[in-house]
Amino acid sequence: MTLVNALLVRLADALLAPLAGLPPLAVVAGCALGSALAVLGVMRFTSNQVALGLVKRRIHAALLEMRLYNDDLRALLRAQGEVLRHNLSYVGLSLVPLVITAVPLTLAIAQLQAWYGYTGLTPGTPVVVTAAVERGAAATMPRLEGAGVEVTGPPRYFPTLGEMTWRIVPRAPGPTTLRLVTAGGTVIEKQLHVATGDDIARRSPLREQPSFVGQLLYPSEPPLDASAGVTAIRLPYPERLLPVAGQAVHWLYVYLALTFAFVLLLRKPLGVVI
Amino acid sequence: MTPLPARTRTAGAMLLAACAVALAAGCGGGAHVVAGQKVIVLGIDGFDHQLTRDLLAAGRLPNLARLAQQGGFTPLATSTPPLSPVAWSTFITGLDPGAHGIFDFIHREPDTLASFLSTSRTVPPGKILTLGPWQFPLSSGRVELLRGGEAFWEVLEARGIETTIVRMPANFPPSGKATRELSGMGTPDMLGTYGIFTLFSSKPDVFERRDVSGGVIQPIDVIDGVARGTIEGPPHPYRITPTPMAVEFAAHVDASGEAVLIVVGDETRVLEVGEWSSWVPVGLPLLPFQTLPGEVRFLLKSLTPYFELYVSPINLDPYAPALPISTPGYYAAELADAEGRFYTQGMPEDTRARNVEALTADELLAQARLTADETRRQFRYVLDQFRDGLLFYYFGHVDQVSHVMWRSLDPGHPAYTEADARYRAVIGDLYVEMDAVVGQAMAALGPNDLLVVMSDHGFAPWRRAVNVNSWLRDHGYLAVTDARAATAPGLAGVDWTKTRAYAVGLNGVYLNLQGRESKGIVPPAEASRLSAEIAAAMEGTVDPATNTPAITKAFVTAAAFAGRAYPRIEPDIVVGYARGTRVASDSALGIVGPDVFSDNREPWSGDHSMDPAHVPGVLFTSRPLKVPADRLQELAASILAEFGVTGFPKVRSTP
Repeated sequence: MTLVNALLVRLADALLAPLAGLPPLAVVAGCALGSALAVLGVMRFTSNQVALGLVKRRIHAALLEMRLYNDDLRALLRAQGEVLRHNLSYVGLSLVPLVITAVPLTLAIAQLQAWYGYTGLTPGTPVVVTAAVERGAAATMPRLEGAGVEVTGPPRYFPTLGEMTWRIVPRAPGPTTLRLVTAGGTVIEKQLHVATGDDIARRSPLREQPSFVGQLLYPSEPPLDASAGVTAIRLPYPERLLPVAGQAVHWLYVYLALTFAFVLLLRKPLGVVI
Repeated sequence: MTPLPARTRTAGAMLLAACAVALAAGCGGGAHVVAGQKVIVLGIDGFDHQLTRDLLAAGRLPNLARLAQQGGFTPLATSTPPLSPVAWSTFITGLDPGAHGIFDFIHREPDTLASFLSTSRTVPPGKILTLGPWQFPLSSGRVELLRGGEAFWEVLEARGIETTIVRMPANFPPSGKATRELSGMGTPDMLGTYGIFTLFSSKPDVFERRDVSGGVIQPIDVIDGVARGTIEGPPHPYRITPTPMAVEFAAHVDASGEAVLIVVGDETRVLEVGEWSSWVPVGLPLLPFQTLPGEVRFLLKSLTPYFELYVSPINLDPYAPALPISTPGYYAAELADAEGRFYTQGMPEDTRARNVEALTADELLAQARLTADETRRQFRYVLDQFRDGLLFYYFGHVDQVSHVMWRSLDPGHPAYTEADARYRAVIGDLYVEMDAVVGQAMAALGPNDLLVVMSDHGFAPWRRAVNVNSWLRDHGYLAVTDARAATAPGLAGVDWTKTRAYAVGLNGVYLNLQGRESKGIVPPAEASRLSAEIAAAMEGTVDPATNTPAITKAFVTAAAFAGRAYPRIEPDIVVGYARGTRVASDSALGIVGPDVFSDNREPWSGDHSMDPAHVPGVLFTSRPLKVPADRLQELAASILAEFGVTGFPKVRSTP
């Protein structure tokens, strides 16, 4: 997973970094269009289009039957049974393309979330860095440091949570690396991207020890070394919301709604049955 | 179509223009309307005329001095009584309290003597479906603004002039008539009150929940390094038996015992002793997957020897307020997006927590700094967005801090100690900060624009307290059946069969009137004579401790107010106390105490609920007004005149 993520991060950065100056809504719309085309392509070439068309027509026929014979209870129940049966067939026929599209879409969404899901920490505004630590590591009180970052106040260890916190004030905009230095000299790093205005950049709020879900959701950095005594490091990046018709909306809702809309719009011109 | 001859076209255009002018004039009795003009009004609550003069003389208010030189600086006569909701309603409508219907912060229901917020009320849903312990509204409830009269900005909006009205007091829920509005003083917390704080304390004397004025003190213990508590919200609307919606929090103490990590839902904050948290969004559980959003701030007061954590009143969340607080509805969220979350509560400085020693002077000042910073940041944003029309922006912290810090300016105060001297500069410094705000507004003015800086009333020391109910008792107007019961709030123990007058609130005295009060004994025909008799007796009252008049003016409202639109809630007499004297807090709550006079020993040591003549506000303008104003009630008409609008208010506004 780590290797896959490393490759995907390089690919996503190569694709998204040149678009960072564009309005986020435009990029999300572009990604939705690309995703819709990919979904339609997968449907076109991995599903039985003829069978799908037939099942859809049968569903329509059963619905028509329900409207025509709505005063005949037996006919109505039989038609509802037909709708249910053909719907199950439809789901069965769509399963393969669904599975095939789910994997790359999930990976793509995780990459987009890193780019468009968070705004940067504001220079001059204090924030708290949190590290989940094992008891032994806490006893030595690791030191936090980072270029362009001022650590204000001592580290705090909360034994009931198994967490340590540091207050930091980012001073310089742009990317930097936080370094957690243990008493034994082990260095654990966490990437930090301080805002330059409302810039778009890769940001990851969490780096943790290896886990499949963790690597899936937070692919930007490799997992922490399991022997370091630190199980996770968190940064409080604010959530980025996109302005849509006067409302602030999470990018994922915009992306999913647009992908769905593009799929519906393009299926007929591209001759794809879905 | 055949073109009209040129002369006919010209005549037609002139006729059309004449009709338009006549229509415009007919709509509001005004002349022509000036568009494209910028008028900025800064409303600073409690900005005192005398203190302003002193600071101007000391050269500490350079921008206001420049303003005074360019346009003018005068005292601004306040309302009767000089209370903020009354005064601002008077400014907004150009009417006196008899016509706009706001007489105090709290009004009393004459049937039951139950008190309610004067400026707004919640109308519950009409139909409710009950299912066992649950109830479900079948129609929606609503919140109503109780202020009567027409707001002056409505007149401008009707003429197509955009208005932005930010934090205007006595404007909750927002009128809905301005282009942009954020409600101000009068906006409740989530409990529907002016603000209920919670203080969690492990002090041994806090064994059980204790309700104090303006707050709740809850016991808490640190067990195995964690203190767990519950912040209570309003009663669950779907439960028949009132059960508060509540949010749990945990405060994890750090290994060194110097800080806590507070966890509320998904939110965490690290606080050291003496530190205020940033805003913490909280969700009061309503239904599975549905919460009522609010926000709180925490203050870690101490960790050793006792754990003490202050939690602010639960404010409405500006991103999704449970009650309407802005026009359009998203404007509050826009402000939060621009400059961060903010106090939506109308009077955010928790002076009541200070008054019951739940906050120290330094803690209250730190909180007032937070509110002032929020307000100033938002002002900068609103000013930057403002293009033309009218901008009104309100600052409330000068008033609130003055209330609890005035003693520092008053060594003659009975509760003054050497410790107060440390805060002597606080109020003056706030005036200097406001001067800087004025400077920002001045920099935004074009050559034809106007800046108005005004306050609703001034300030005075509050040294001596008068229990008006006790005074009425001693003068034979109020009788008690049980002297001990009468020391409880709500006029308990009063013998209504022999009581002709009683006092509730800060300045109001009410006759026990037949047909209005449920146990009224004063015939309506007697009301005028009795009011005049009591007023005359009050004006002769002398404080025996100081041998000076305690009440300099008692206004019989039937004569003092032009409007009489709210006879059920209007007091019959408004008491104008001497400078330095105010109603005792007990009396305002309907307590009949043993003594009439007492020293004021509360931290709340400055006030303005006195004779209006003693507490004028201020009026600065960047150029002379076309229609001068020396009374708060006239100011809206003067502002409208700058836009070419006359004839405001439409109804008679002087007795």
